[in-house]
Amino acid sequence: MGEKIMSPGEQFAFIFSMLITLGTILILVSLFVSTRPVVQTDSLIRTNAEIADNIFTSNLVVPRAVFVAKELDGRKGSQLEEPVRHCGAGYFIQVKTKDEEWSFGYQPEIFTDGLSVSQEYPAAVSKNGIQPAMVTLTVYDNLFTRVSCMAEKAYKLGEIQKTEIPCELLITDKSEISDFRDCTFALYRKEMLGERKFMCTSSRQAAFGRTMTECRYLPDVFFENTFLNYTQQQNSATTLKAYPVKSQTSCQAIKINPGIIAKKGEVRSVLFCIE
Amino acid sequence: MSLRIIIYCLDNILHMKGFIISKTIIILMLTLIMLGAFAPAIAGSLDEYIKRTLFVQTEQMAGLINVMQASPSGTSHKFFLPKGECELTVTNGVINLTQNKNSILRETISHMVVEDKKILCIKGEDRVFYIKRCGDRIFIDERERRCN
Repeated sequence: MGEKIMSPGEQFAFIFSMLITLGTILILVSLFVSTRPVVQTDSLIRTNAEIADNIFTSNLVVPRAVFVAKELDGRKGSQLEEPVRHCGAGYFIQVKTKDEEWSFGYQPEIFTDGLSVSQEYPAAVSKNGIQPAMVTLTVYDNLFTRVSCMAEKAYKLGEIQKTEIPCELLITDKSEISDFRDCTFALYRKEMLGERKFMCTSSRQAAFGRTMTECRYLPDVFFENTFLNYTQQQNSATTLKAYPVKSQTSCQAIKINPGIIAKKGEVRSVLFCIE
Repeated sequence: MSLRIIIYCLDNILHMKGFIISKTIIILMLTLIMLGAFAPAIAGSLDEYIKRTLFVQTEQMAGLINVMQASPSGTSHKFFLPKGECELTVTNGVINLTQNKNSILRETISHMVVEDKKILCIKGEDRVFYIKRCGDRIFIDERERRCN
């Protein structure tokens, strides 16, 4: 091992080339690690088009995209989402001709800060002949549509559903003096338009000085009326669970006896609990 | 053996000799150390990639079922599931695709009745199935169904 030692120039070249190579490796590794692929499926826009497509071939129209005025009259001003329904996304439809307007479906009053997509479609209405019309379909994806879908999935699949809920419905002004807020979340059944079943929630917000109610059509799903009272630290979330149950019960009873939780085929009702 | 290599490298570095060999070994070692340090992040990215792929496939399948509900009776679509083990279940119009312990749920539109179905994918084999509308029902089958 008796080779000659490098000259100062060679030593400098060695260190310099090492630094450049190491820098390049560091940059490449950091670029590789910091790359975050973002996949945008625009699912709500697609859902809007798919709901419209189904409405245009439903029993509201004869033939495709020509609405029967009698069918529209029967739903005018209601909150019904039929004959087409989407579990996770609520929709509101407006059909406008030159002389008349029909609208029905779900419209958020409390959960207005969710996602929504509105699209227009050309159509027609069959009333004293065929009249050209414009259909505006607005699709909503918010906490309430997701909670109603949780009840539906728990009921039909016999599986526990869960989601994070913020303190949406603030009923006191305690937040001004404390980091903790008192929150409520009420979910109750309501029958409207004959025996049609709806899931409703109400909020008494100090800022508005009145009680607001929001309902969504939820046929063939049974759930226990729920009034959840919970305390939440600011900027945090609480877990809301929907349990499929075999009989009427309480959240405490589920903790003591998990055997009450139903599997598919055994579900009698859905119970909401805060955890 | 490895000790001899380290001693040789150190000897080279200390005497600034063996320019190319020393540099290559140092860079290799540092790269390995960095890769080791970033391994959790790389594994996380791969996991996220699998989840995203699963999400996109479930979305695509739900979209197809939704479109099929608005199509005339007899319309069918051939769908390919990726190679690898997976489980597809359709229950009451809710699609559940599971792969590598990741599971994605997606609801479809309730207009027609979507028949319940369970399809298992086998590792290394392409899994093909058909989504078909027959009358007021949507069927998911491994072989294309004939509508009566």
